[in-house]
Amino acid sequence: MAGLVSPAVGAVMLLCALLSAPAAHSRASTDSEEAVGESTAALILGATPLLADDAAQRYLNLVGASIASITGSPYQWRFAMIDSADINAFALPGGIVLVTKGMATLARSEDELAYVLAHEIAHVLHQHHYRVVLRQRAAVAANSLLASDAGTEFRDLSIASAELFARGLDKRAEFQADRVGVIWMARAGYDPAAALGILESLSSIEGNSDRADWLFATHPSPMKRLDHLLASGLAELALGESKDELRKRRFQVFRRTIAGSGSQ
Amino acid sequence: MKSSSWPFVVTASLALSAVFPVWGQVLQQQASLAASPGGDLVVGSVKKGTPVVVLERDGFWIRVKAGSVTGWTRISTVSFSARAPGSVRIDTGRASVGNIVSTSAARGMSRVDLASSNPAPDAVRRIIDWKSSEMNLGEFRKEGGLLQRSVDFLRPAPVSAETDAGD
Repeated sequence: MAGLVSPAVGAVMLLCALLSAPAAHSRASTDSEEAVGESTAALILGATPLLADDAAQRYLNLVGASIASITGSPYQWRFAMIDSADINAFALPGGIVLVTKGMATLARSEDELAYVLAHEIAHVLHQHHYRVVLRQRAAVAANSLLASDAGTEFRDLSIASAELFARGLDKRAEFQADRVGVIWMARAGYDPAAALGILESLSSIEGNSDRADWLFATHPSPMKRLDHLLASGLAELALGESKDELRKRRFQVFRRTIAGSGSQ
Repeated sequence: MKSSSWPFVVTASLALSAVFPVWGQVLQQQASLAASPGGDLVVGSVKKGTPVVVLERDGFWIRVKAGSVTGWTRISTVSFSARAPGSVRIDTGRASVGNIVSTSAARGMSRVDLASSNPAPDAVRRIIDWKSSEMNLGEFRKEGGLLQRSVDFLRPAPVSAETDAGD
């Protein structure tokens, strides 16, 4: 982009291209998203390290890929657990999903963990973070006469992306991620009622633990999210059995593994 | 959730091994309570607005207690985010500005922390090592009984006092 168009024009062009074709992810826009996502991930992982446990990380990737692989999206999905006792998860542009050890520990079944990942996958599919970042960047660039080089522009996008995780999305985006995520997990074969389980657990710690302060500050309350899912018709889904008995043993192994890993 | 019955609700929920420490309010004009989840035997009914204590959940069914009546009802007949009559809201430090959830009280990652973070690109590259192969994924799905199925997307929730009241 540098040398051909100014950063401001480039950002506006990219934004217009994305907004004009919300359902179609071109290779160019996907590459750009992945680059911003990787740079953002580098910033987050610079502050909080990955959990040093290959087995747990591979299991997390298998659960995430079970859902992401059926979405037909062009992203290179990657899932990782960070070594933090905080309860949170992050969807980065381009398909990197980070989950804290605290959040993974909160899940009581593979299906509940799957819902956490499905919610984040939905954020990526709908470009919730990426669109806000581009919009902010375009607004700043349009009001600035100061040209920056491509490297600065790119780092600014990444920082803007990372800042967004500290500030939170529009709550409608969170409700949409709940609504869309639960369907993707159901399509993958998981029990959608598990979404209620993780929201119940979050509700039970609301106001009782500071480990979820950040999550509660950036998301609607768990019970409001639950009400939205129910008002959307979640409980009326007529699906066949998908009990998690077959998945129970491997999830217990995963839980034991992460309990003995990390510093948090 | 902030009602005076809170300690009781927590105790009851834990005793029944469900993590559902909440009360709700009936949304329907008249909701029947059944003897079992999805069962035909009706043991009572509750009117719209009646506060109920949620004792346990089984899939999309919940067992509730309303006064002296206890029974099962579909979870969508109850609203969970409405406050109990006369309850006092506890200030959790959370506030909303428009549709954006404020993060003024958030701890952990901050704008300064992120801007000054020493990027770890090696850690990002490490993540790719954990990516599953198609073969591993197929085995994982089969072992876990994960069968792909066709499910329609949910409709957006209608904006209403029950579901979209301010935080």
